Amino acid sequence: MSTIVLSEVRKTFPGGVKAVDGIDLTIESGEFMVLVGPSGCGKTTLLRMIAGLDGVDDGVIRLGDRDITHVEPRERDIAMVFQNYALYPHMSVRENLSYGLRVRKTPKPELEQRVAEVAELLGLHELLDRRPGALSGGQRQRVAMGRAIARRPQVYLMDEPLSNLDAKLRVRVRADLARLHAQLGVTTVYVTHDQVEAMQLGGRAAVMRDGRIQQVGRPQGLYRDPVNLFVASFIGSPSMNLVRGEIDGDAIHFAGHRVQLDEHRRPPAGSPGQVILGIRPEDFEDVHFAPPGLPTIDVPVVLVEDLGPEALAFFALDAERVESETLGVAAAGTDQEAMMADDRRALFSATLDPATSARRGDVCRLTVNPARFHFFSPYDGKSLLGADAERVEAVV
Amino acid sequence: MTATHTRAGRSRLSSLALAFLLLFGGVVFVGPLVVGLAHLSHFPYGVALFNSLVIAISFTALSTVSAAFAGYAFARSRVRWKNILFLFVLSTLMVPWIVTMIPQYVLFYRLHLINTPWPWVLWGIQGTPLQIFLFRQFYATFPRELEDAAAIDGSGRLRIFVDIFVPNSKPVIAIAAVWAFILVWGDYLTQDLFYLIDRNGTLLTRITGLINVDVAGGGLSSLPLALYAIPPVIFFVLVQRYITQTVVTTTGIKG
Repeated sequence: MSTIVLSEVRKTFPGGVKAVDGIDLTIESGEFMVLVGPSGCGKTTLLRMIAGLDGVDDGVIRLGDRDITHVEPRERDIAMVFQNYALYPHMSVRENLSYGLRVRKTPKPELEQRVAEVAELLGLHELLDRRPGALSGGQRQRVAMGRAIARRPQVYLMDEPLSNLDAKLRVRVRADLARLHAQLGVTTVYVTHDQVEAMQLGGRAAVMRDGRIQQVGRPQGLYRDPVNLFVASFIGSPSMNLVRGEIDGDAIHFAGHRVQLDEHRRPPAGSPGQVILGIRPEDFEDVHFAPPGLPTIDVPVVLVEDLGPEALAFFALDAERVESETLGVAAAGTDQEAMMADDRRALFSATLDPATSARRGDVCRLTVNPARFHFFSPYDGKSLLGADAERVEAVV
Repeated sequence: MTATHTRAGRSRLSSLALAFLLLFGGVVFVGPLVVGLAHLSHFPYGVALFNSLVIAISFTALSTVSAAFAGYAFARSRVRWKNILFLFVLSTLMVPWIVTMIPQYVLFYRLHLINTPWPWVLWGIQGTPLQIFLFRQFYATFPRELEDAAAIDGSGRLRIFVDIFVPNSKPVIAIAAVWAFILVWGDYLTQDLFYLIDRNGTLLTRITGLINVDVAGGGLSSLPLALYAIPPVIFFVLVQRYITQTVVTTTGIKG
């Protein structure tokens, strides 16, 4: 059993910065859990606390039946892959792979066998006598993985291990990671700030902000049913379009448009009339390519990016932008935000059929799908669609 | 064609001139050494050299090891007041050696350690503030991930130091060791005082006494001086590549 249970875990750095602020999380044995969030959200600190590299101010960390809150890292039976790999520069690949085993006084025949197995698994045979300095980024990453695997620990901790790789290699290594996890079945906690990585790798993902978990769930669940504005805007690329609107009976008014609501997807009775409406880019479509019967809006196109399988159109709405500060998104503005820096209007994105005739400067008629609308409270940012137990496992 | 021949002739001539020059230089420099070596029986060179090497090597080795440990502790341990303690250690750099020399002489005299290498051994164990500073600064910038990785791999503090820090500290070890060796090797005053009564003394005290005294014919004064210069040169040649590495690394020219 290598279930990790975090109970009310807290960490405050000198100066009063709350890096981890009361985290409750259970990571099941054999699960691949991704901790995702913007820089400074506390995800790496939490990982280091699980590793024992940073102390815990309050709360309990359990691994299986053991309370490991104050146990030394070497006695936790975990392995960690670091962002910059942290390979020992003075040792060969073989020595790097076997260092943990040597420290634990593993008999030589077993040690050699394990190194050979790992080399076989990760294709490191030809690199065994090289030093890390003579390896490429991808090779170093594999050696770092191999060093973790060779020890056969109960848990793997990975701290943004793909961030130093180029985009193409990252895709390949990501697939390798998924394959390795399926093959080894070891509990894995993976930290990343890249929500795409979280979506692709995670059996489950925990979205973090300001030292707290915002939502835990399967990637599709986080994408389809975000519990608050932060998760809604953080998960998904391009991110969810947000605009202030007002519910008026069976319809919603936003930016001069009136759209009929879907009868099964609307804020519950008694909710405030003022809402923040969220629409994913793929829930728009050029009217010429959309199924009939959907409501339409006419919008001025600011830019169209032809991406091949789809076209990404940007259009301005006659409504004030929902500022990223409101959402608590720490990241700097996107390119599109920069493009509209002088414009206070909301800039929406829509993924359209690549054959769309929409061009910059045109007024384009788009359909929207009210069955996929998201509604958030303008006061606390929480979803107004209800905290359904099935889709929401943890909410602030 | 003629021009090519002329260039080749000039090249041969300059090579020949260089060969003669080197030969002449060799005779000038090695000559006294050869003459002197023939008269070694008149000079207690062996014992004096042995004494010098014992105090220099023991001080160098011990002070480097000791300072490395202290520097590691100052850079990496999580102990309260360590920065204040470090400042205190650094502040001792401002106390001139000459001020504490007589009290130390009295101390070692009472311990019956005068005319033995023990003062240098004890000074070595104590380490020097400059070496501690060097190690502390080097280890303060040492990648923390390597330390973390070794801790997760199962190493304790001492093992992390020995397995990870020391093998990656060759540049600073070389600098600290060369500095310590030269400090002792060239320190006439201390050697003269603490080896005053020993009739053999150290190489430095002996040759100082021999300068301008023609004991066994021409060239002997140059002999001990030449021999005195050899050990530090050998030592420096052995470790210079690590020193170069340090300079290159710290200037940011190389990763």
